[in-house]
Amino acid sequence: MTNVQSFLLDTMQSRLNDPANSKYWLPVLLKNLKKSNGLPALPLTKKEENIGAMTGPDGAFIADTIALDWAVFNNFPDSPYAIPSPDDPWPILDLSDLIVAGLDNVFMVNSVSSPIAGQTGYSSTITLQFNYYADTNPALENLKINGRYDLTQAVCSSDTSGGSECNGNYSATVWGKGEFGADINDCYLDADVSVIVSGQGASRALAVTVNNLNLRGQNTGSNPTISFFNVTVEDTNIGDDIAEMAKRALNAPEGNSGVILAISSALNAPGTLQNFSELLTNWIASAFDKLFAPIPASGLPNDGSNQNAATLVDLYLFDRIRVAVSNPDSNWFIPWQVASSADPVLEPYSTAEITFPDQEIGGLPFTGIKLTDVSIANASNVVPPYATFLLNSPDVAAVIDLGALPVGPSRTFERNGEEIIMNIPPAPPVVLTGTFTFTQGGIAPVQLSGTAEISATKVSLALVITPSGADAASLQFTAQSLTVDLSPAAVSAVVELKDDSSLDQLAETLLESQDAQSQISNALNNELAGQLSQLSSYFSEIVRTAIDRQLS
Amino acid sequence: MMPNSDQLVALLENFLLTPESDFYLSTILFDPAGGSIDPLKIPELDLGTVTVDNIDFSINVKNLSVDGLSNIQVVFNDGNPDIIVDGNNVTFVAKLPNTQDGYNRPTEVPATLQMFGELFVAINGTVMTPGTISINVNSIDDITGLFTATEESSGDLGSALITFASVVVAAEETSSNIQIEVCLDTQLSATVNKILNQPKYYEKILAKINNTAAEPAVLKKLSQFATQAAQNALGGITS
Repeated sequence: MTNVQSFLLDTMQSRLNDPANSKYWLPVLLKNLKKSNGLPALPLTKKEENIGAMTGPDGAFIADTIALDWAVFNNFPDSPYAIPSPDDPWPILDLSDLIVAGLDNVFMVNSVSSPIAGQTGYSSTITLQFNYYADTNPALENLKINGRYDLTQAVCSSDTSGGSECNGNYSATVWGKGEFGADINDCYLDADVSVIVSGQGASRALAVTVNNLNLRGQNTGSNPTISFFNVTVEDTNIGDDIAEMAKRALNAPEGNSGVILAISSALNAPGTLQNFSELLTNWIASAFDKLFAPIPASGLPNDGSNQNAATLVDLYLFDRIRVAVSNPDSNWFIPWQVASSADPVLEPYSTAEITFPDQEIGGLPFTGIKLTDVSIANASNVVPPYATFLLNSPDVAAVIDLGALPVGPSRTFERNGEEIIMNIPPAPPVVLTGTFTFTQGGIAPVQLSGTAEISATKVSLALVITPSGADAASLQFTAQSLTVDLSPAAVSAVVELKDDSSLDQLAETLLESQDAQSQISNALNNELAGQLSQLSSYFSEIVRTAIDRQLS
Repeated sequence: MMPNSDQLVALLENFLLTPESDFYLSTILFDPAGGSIDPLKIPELDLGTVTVDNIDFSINVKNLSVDGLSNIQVVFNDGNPDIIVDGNNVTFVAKLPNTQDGYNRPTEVPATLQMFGELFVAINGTVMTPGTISINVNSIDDITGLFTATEESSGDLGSALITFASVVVAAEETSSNIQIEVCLDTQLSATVNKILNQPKYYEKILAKINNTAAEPAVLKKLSQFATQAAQNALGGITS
């Protein structure tokens, strides 16, 4: 995992680009985007874009041509020639009533994120490609701009062709105005977005700010391709031939730049950026609420100083996870996940045998002490208290208490094709049951057996996991270690030997001794160590599935 | 009460039979501080008056110490220990000496049953200077013990109570098995020696041992010692 922001964006990328994802397909998000007044934010509009004087070669050509046309159009008997006005020699192109459509036909290409200095969050550049979708149903428009142009040119009569001075007989401002349309192709957008944490302590949230939207062509520094169509002349003072000049003006570098600038400035208008920022802020809040369940009234943990997070955004995400795994209303609630585990089944957990060290009682060796067909129940009554659930980037370490939660409500679910009805979490304490056998050594060795039930009231698990993966689909939690700590004072054994209650106490003594308890711990630790990779895979899969389900 | 159970019986038998056990028979019978039955103190053993060649010998033994009663082992018949459990009652049959592998006989415990006491002899009414008497029993074929095992508080092995009802010794009363040696500062010492080395006196001595062992105070003391051992063996780890 490079960083949390990359992970989140990479995770979202496939959703944002999936037309089948009704919640998170980017075109749908954009189509539904509303302005603060409740009206749709798209298409974007812009009242005017003043390109102004066109001072390049195209401007000169247009100026000369219009001057000539003007002379021909008026056919002044005493002044056969005309030139652009020396005081104001360049054509002036203004655009107005602009509508930019097809901004929702957009595909997220990639993203690059890096932590903001000071670890307040991340800044990311998200690259979007327009005109990506060609055959969706309903169809998405391609990116295009429609509007009006206004082309003017100051001219005057001259005594010579191509002269540089007016002869003072005639002068005018030639104008033509009309509509135009343009298809924008090869168009990309680099969105500079920052994600920081707003609020304090228990009432934090993520705030997304869209800082800048940089329109470009396929390569950095290049421009999109613009194809004008439907350039009409609605009104002019020299005749329809000015349409050709309007087309030339629009197609000139100045015209192209003006169109790009119009779209770009529309996109970057403060209100629009704020719209996009709010869209993303709300979107991420909603996605997190769906993923983790809403934050309960008690709020987020407020112990940031104990955590070692790469950024405040990492800390926020970690805190959401901490809340989610402790929140019975969340799918992440650990007792629920542990109880749901089907491979291996963890509630109850079965293991073939736990062996105990030999002991000496009354001078005689007691050997072959073992529990067989062991079942461990209620170990899903498990919660990591905030105080012992620590982010130690990149690892996460938790000391998890077993049996600390009160019994929860009954829930019904399916596991390995079987209907399970279980209290989530189950009532404490953790209980090991099994067949207990041991042999009293001596001249006439005696083998005894019976059923044993061992209750452990103070059990804790120490867990260290390392998350990895570029996105949710490849998310992997690798449990580095998982160890059991049985508090010696908190284990009590109830043994019922076959046909013989008088020796139960002796057997219980064998199980309650300090040696036996450390052996139970060792045995469980060995079990857990053996299951570590399977448990890692299982819980990784759970989280991947949860993310996938919630973001579909 | 401890219910009769095969497992408990098996367990107790195993304790009783295994030298390393705290409840090993030899272990519960021996206490150098005098808390058990080995050594056994017999304050007085009156061997009566006998007339030999018209001389009256009145023979009395005082402060007889019997050492080695713990040097016994449960008899095995065809590989099975001679122990009978009937309810809470456990009857065992043992023999002396204990030759079981793993039994480390304490130095205070002699290899044979040995007695030593003060000998008081009056000859025709004249009290002699006191002497000593040593009695040696090479082997005992049959030592039968009976005790009950109960729990003071039900289900608590740490409260096990062992109550001895009897310990009875039966040995071959022959001069090859039993030897008596007196030491008296008189020329008639040899005569006394000869008088006593007869089955009649062997029988008297063994009977006295049995009578003494049957005294309530002795059985109580033994029971208390065995109880402690049983509690150590069965429930000592719980305390």
